[in-house]
Amino acid sequence: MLSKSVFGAALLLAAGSGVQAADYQVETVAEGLSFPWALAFLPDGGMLVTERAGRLRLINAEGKLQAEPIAGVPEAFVNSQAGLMGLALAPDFAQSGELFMSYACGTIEANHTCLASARFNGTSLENTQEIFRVQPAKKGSAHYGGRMAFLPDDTLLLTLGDGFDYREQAQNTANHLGSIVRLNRDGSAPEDNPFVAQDGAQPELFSIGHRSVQAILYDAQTQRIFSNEHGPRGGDEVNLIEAGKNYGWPKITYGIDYDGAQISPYTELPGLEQPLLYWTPSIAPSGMTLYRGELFPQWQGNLLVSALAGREVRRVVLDGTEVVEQESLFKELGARFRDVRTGPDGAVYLLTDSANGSVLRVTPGN
Amino acid sequence: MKLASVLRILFCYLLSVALGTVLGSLVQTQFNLFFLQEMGVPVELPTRFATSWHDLMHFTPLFSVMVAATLLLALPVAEGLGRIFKPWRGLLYLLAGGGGIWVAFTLANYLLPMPTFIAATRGTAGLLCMMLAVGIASWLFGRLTKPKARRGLRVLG
Repeated sequence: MLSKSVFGAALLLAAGSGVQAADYQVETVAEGLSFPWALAFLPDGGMLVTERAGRLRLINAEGKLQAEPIAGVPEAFVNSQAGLMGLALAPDFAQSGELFMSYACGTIEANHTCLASARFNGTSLENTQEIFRVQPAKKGSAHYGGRMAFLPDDTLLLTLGDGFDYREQAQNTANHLGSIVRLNRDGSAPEDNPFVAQDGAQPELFSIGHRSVQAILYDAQTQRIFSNEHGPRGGDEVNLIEAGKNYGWPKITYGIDYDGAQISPYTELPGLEQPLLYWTPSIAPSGMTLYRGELFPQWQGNLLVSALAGREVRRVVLDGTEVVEQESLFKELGARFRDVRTGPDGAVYLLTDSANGSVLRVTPGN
Repeated sequence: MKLASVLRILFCYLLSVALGTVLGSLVQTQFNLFFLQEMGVPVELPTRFATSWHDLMHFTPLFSVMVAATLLLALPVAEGLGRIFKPWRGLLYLLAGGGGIWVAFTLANYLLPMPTFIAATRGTAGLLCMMLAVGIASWLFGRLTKPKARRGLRVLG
């Protein structure tokens, strides 16, 4: 029995937008999760969910949340935005059982975004080992990134943040802050990474000039990589990621600082990439999926972007790489959304961001 | 105290809040632009003026509240100490304003979600210049409200 309760059906009319509205119903799959952060679907129909508090939870194929957290998770530094964050299953997970977890490690005075691999045996993790650690250490507990996506060549993209107080380091290729890195499954840097030949650059770098990258996905159909990231006050972005590109933070930005000051007078400069889309005021994007399921044919090929401050999921209609339309979904739930995923069944899954967080499943109405 | 004296002190207080806010805003803008220049971003004079103006319009509303609260508490302390250590009155006002805004920055960084509320104060130079900006405003208040010299008991001076 997957669903515990039904929130109710909603007919969403995208007022004035002209986009096609959808009937849907929202069911609660699991609740009582402490700030759930990332969701992964197991081959047997179950799910794994990370909790920022440092726990990995199993929802079995029958849809029942297991009371005991999964053992073998690496110890995370938990404070404010820091904790256990991203989760990705290896492409060959069905055979290897290998998965990857991103988390904050260290102390309030010196911490990093870390990446660990482990083997899931169905009940616990084995051979958990740290395979990558952002350098250098930073102070404070903000802007870690932590989302992952596999590329077809079996390498892994890991998103990172600028550590907030270190924003200029997003332009410095000598460290990992404010970048997206591309790694082999053992944490090493692939030899064809774009900054490998640059003197003094970190070989793991894939793209630079990011602030706090909250989502990344690879769309096999179009062979494109999409990411989203938090701007400061305004200037949240969706980006089309390409190897070796500089996405501009903080040299250019559509946002201003929280105190009202201008971070940069420029929104564009030569050699710096423009976002596909930016939001001012901020919606605080979190997870993102490119919908390729069958349950919502009218959402086919659209980006679904979950939002924290916006308390919605933004449906972004693309024509190639042009954003042609947007629709706000699930506002009526009034929840901060940490993640959005397309399930293997074509349903849309949501994680709500609270001390009593939930996994929600969205399917067509009727 | 006569109404005229109260109004005069109030005017001096508002003047010093305005001065501290404007100086602080201009200081933090120059530091933010310096950070950009260090990364190779060109900052011509018109851009510098435009950014300074933007911040005078958008940074000052919040910062003026910090300066006003700081001086409201710091000025009486400086006045009290200034009466005891009369020769050092100016310095005491300067230190009270500068130290007060440092406390305000520290409090804001502790209470707000972001590690450092005002980016210019991430480094020692920026922090000291912001403290000096509010310190000068505090010093001005002390200067404007300095009692006329009178004969009488003087302690340490």
